[in-house]
Order: sequence, then C-alpha cells, then structure tokens
Amino acid sequence: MNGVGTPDLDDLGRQQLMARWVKSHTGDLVRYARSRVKDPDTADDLVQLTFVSAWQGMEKFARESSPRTWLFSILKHKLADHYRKAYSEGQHLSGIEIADDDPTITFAPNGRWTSTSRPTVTDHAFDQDEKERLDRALVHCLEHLPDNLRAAVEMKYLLEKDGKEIQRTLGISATNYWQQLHRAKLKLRKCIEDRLDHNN
Amino acid sequence: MAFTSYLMIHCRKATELGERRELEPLTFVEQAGLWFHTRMCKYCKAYLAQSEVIDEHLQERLGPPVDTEALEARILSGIER
Repeated sequence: MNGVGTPDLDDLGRQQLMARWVKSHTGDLVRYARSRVKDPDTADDLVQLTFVSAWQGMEKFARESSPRTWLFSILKHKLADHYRKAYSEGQHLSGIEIADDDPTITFAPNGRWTSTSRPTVTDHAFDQDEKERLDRALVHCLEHLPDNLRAAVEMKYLLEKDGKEIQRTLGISATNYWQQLHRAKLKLRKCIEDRLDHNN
Repeated sequence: MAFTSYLMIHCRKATELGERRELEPLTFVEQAGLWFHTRMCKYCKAYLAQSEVIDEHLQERLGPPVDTEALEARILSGIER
C-alpha cells in the first residue's frame, strides 16, 4: 500500500483519502473556526479553503504529522490571513481608534484604576465552577470587541504567541500591538465581569 | 533618585506588562516592578488572575457541535471538479 501523501498515490487513492479526511475532520475544524470569526459562513468558507489547499498540497503532507494537525495548521494560516486582511481594510476605511474616554479602559491620570474600571476583588478569578457561563460570556464579549482589537487577540493564538511575527503580519509596531492587546483585554475583562454579574 | 522609584509602576503599566509577558520576556526591572506592584495593589492582583483565566479560555475555546453534512458535500464537490 502506498504511504499517505506520497506522490505515487493515484488519483482515486487521493480522492478517497481526502474524502476520509473531510468526513473525519470537518466537524472539529468548523467548531474551531466558528469560535474565532464572527460570521459562521465566513468560518465555513475558510474550512472549505483549508481542504482546497490540502488537496493541492497533498504531496507536501509529511507522514510524520497527523492529518488533523496538518489540517489545523492550514486552517490557522487561513484565519490569520483573514484577520490580516480585515485588519488592514478596517484601518484603511476608518483609521479605527478607540476613543480614549471609553470608561472600561480608562485609568485615572495617575495611572490608577478608576472606580468604574477596576475589577471586583474576590477570592477566585471569576467563578471557576461555572465554566459554561464564562464561556458564553466570553463569546458574547469577543463578538462585541471592535474589529481591530479582536484581530489583535485572535492573532495571539493563531500565530502561536510569536509577538514579532504578529506585528509583522499586521504591519504595526510593537508598541502599537501591546497597546491594542492591552485595550482588548481590559475591555474583554470588564465586559465578562459585567455580564456575569448581570446574569446573577 | 532612589533605585526603588524605578520599581514603582502604576496600574496601567502593570496591566500592560501582564499582557506583554505572555509574548516576550520582560526586563528584570519590569519583572520586579510588576512583582512589587501586585503585592501592593489588590485590584491588579485580581485583574491578572482574571486575565489568566480569560487567556486559558481563549486558547481552548471551541464552538458548539454543528451539522456539517452539507458543507462536507460542498467541499468534496469543489475538490473533485
């Protein structure tokens, strides 16, 4: 039997192998993609593009890595590319900048928390027993982040926390990236805390 | 100026360093500043703990299972063409 991904696999063999991959991995790839982009159709399109790339590059698939790992790495690249484009277009259109008077991310002039922005001090960070509620709050709050901040957050995970690579891909300076990531986290945290309190 | 004044950072800086240390190593002074600050400031301590939980969830998140039968057919017909 021919090895997986070897050039001597005939067309029928390639098609059968690909059909198996589509059947086994589409579900998980979609779940991954849909939790990372706002629009489900866009997520599905990126999964489809992932398989197109996999099909075209099947010869490059090394036997050592599992198909799942390989497909996920292609999908991550597609997602990163999606955010790179969204980021540059968004910047271009509106020069997106968040107002500095946003109360969720403002510190006092002396650099301290204001009474509206500071976290509630508890023994445990959020309620770890309620993972599901926290997950739901997180999804909601991510979707309400401005596009450029969402891109900053997503890139951190898509590009495996490689700061330099992220800054290069987004075409922004290190300082600018830290600022965006910082703002995104401040907004996310505040939004999650408010939402968890609100639903109690 | 006393050496300790280098270590006095405010909340805005502390929370920013908390973000940055995830992606690149902080300088010794930055690490020390963050360490001292979180020992004095209960809000930043709470913030950094919450931030860590958020990061874990961000890393692991997966959407709910969906029916992908139609998409699978679309993918295959796109490839086989």
